[in-house]
Amino acid sequence: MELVFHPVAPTHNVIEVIGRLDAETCDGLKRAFIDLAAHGVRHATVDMAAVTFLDSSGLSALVAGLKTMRQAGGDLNLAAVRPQARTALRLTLLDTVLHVHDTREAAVSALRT
Amino acid sequence: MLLDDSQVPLGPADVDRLVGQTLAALEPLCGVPLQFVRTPPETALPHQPVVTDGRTFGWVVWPDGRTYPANADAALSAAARVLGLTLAEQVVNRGLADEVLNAWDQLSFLYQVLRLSTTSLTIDQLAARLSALAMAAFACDNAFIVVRTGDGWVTASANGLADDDRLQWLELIKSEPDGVVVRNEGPRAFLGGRAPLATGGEAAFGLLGPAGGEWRARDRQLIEGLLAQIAMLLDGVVLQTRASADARMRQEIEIAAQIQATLQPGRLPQPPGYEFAGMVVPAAQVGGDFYDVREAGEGRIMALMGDVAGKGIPAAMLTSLVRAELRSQAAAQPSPRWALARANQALFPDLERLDTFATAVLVSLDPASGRLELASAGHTATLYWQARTRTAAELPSTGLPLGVTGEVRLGEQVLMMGPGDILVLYSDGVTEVEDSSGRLLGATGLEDVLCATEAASADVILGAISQAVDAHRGGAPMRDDLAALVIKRNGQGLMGRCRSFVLPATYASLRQLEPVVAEVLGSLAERVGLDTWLDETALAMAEHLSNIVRHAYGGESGLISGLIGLQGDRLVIETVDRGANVFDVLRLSGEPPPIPSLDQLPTEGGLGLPLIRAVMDTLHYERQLPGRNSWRLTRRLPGVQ
Repeated sequence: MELVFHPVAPTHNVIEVIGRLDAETCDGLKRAFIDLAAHGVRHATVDMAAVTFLDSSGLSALVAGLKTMRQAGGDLNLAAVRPQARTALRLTLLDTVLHVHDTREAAVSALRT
Repeated sequence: MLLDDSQVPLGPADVDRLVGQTLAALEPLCGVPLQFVRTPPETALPHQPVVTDGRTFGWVVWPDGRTYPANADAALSAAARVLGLTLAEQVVNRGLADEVLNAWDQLSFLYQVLRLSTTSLTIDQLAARLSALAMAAFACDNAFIVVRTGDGWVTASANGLADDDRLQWLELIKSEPDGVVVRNEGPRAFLGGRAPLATGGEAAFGLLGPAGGEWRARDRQLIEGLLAQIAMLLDGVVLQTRASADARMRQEIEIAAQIQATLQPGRLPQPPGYEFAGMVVPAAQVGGDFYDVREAGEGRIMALMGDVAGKGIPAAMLTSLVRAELRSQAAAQPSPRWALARANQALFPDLERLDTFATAVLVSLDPASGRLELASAGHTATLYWQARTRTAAELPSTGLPLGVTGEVRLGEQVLMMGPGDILVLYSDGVTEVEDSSGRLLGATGLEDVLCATEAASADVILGAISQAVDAHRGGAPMRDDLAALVIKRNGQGLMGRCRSFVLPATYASLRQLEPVVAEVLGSLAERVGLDTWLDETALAMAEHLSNIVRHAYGGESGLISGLIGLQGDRLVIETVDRGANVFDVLRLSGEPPPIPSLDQLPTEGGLGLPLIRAVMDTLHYERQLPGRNSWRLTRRLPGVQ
């Protein structure tokens, strides 16, 4: 699993996740959120276009990210979620808490407002 | 040839001839024929010694009865000096000639040694020839050779050598750091050396000179060269012997394997309501394990499995014999215990003579009633899985193995196979397979497989047993033959299309199961709109397996056995693991939780179980003795209400 960071503003970062987001790889994402918050980032958009598989452990990492950003006074949302990941969100009812946008741009501007 | 410097290499006849010729030539100068004597003259006649190289050959004497002049001594001295020079020259020439002959002998020996490399000799023959040749070429009293190879020792000597003497010379050779000994002191001169063999081991070579003889520096050089040659020769013979032995053995094994292959059971009878599936996997090309299933008259089915002790071709040959005898007895005798006892009687002489034994288990099944009789001559316990109780019983041996005593008395076990019951005959190679820590798969490992796959057909169950052996063994090589025979009485709820698995409980190895749900659905999966159903089911299965890894095994190593298949209108996932009983069974009942508030959301796991429950229609958990978790998850197939 790879993470690519695209800052769009000093306090707003896009995190591109590539590969599987599961029990083996979720810790990396959790650590990334903590690092970002430590560097003053409050808003995070997670770009899921390249996520091949998402399970409950991956969802835990996203939820952890959401809590971290909220505690920092900001928010977190998701972009370009593929069908398998959408299924996971839906089954756990987390799609009501983790908001999903079709494109990265839409997700980013949703957080800017 | 020994050259002894203390001896003049001229015989008396040669000396007389030379002296006679020289003195005759001097006569005109002296005027008289001077005489030559070997012993000092006692007369008062003038005489002078003939000296060469500090050694006195004899004396020149004025002939008796002749008057001698005043310068007689001077003339005698001159004559003596001439004689001395002539003789000295002859000695040198003869010495040179001898050396040429000597060199010729040794070259000739080397040539003979080289020629030996083109013949096909055994090491014993080679050693004998070398020592005989050496003794002749070096004109010594005895020559010996000692060769140590990976296979043992070979010694040879040209003239007979007592063991003590040989040991003494070997000690001497060993004591020399550079491997060559030249020893001229003592009762006999000794020249010897040793050289290592490239194929392993070494050769030692010794020449025993005649008493009073001496070896020279030149001989030492020759021995060094010779040792290298001899070592090469011996290496060649060793390699040749090994290569041909290997080739012969490979050929024999090929033939034996072909014979064994033709004796495989082939298609097994499948009486209505029952399924038979068996396999034999020899560890090497030929093995001692076998099984057979045959119709035995009156609708009965006879099944047997055996294991002949020992490996390789002798065991394989005996296997054919034992199998044939068991077959014929099983067909002839009404009950397994009598069949095994009679087979033992017939086989005992052969087994005893070859100092080996065989274990065997024989089963007689009446398909109509389900009545099964079993007798076992020392074979690994048979596993009997009862569908009603979902437990396994071990049916142990009922008597001694075949070939231990001439008369054997065996007990018999009788049981009634009910619907869904499974009997597994297997060899100890299955349950005694070891993992990297030396733990055995054991009968409990086999039971796990049966628990997970009991709903499937006999050949799927057999395949799962093979998967269990592979998964437990990891990458380690197979050391023992594998044999297993599954007998299943069909029950309700037979699995349709299905896939079994036995895998280590790691995320990495379980990933390979992700496409299995789609595979099992087959053409159904290609229907439009199935993607979501497949994603959900695959995700639920992944969550379930992750839970076993993380919570049941807690990251420790272990195996997960399972079955994914179609049963009626449902997809069924069965798993078995030996992890801890950490699941709160109560959590499985009740409604799915409402939408959690942000605070209540877990960030460390805990989302898996609700997800599984949201997808699967039924979720069943059973904790079994001894320490087994058995799960069954089902979901109605799409398009079914």
